[in-house]
Amino acid sequence: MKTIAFLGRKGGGGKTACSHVLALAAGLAGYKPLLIQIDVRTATPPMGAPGRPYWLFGLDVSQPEQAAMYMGTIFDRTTKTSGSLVILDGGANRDAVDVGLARRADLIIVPVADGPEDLEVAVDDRNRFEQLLRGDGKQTPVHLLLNRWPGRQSELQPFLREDYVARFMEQTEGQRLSTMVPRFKSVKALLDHNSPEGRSAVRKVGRQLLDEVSGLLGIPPARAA
Amino acid sequence: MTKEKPGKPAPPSDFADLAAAFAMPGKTTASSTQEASQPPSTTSDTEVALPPAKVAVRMRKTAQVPQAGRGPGRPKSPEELVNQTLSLRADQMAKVHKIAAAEYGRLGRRVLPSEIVRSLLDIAFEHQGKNTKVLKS
Repeated sequence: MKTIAFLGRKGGGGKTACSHVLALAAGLAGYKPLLIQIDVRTATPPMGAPGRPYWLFGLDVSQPEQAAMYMGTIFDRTTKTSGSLVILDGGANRDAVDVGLARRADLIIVPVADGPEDLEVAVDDRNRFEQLLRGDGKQTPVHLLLNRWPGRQSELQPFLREDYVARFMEQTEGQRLSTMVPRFKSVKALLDHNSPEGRSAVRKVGRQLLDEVSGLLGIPPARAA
Repeated sequence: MTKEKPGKPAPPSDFADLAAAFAMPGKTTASSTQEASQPPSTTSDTEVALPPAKVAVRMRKTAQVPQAGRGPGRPKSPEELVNQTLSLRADQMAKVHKIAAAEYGRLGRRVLPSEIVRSLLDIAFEHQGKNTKVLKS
């Protein structure tokens, strides 16, 4: 059992979207993914929608003791299940909860959208998590995931030449995942629709992300979707 | 001859009982194969712990918000309470407008400044109170 946490203080960074993309790809690839959405009061996709190859649990962290108890039960169970993959979808502006989740994770991913403030906060978040874990004596990898960045090269290249973006790219060399989740309408559909199978583009990006994640976690490669 | 369409992917069967168990506690939401096509019940003990009243207020249209200046004793609308509590000046309200545009404009719908102010208040209250405890490991 491995745990991947999508964390970050900035709302709209893509924690929920990216965690669903990864869970979808993992389910299609034969892992046993279980997605835990930490705050049910944020954009919560429909529960129990047919077509999701992963279980989706929503916890209400305004009741921390209860949330912790439920999470303990889920972890107990997934630990005993071979091939299980727990994906934690953190909430925005929940520093204290994030600390607890970061300590449970085998890999932390901080999704970063394309706004100047997004970049700044994400870098700060990544450094904060790394510092926290190193303080605990853990070597948990912490990576940034570019999310909702321009997908077309004709748009991406000029964007990369923007001052704040160029600075960010230089500053975060080696700290980013190579997978980039572009602006897909179907990523949003993954969260909204009742049959969230995801279109081929989403599956492809998800698979790329899954391969990179499984490499970082050192888990056996999944079968082709 | 048409190619047979593959069935929809299903969640891993290993956790079906876990999901079913989680469908029982009142304050937790969970997916379940048995209830796959059914929306969560709003009358049973398995009610989802979403804040329906708050969401409803947030989604209220401007025309539905009671206007100020009526007789004494009338309950104040959340917008009025927010404005009364914070006493925002015009320039501060302009900043809130700016934040509204930056944060929520991309959602593709108009966002009232009062929604943003309430979001900020929510965050402040959470930080102050309930959310200070770390999840137990």
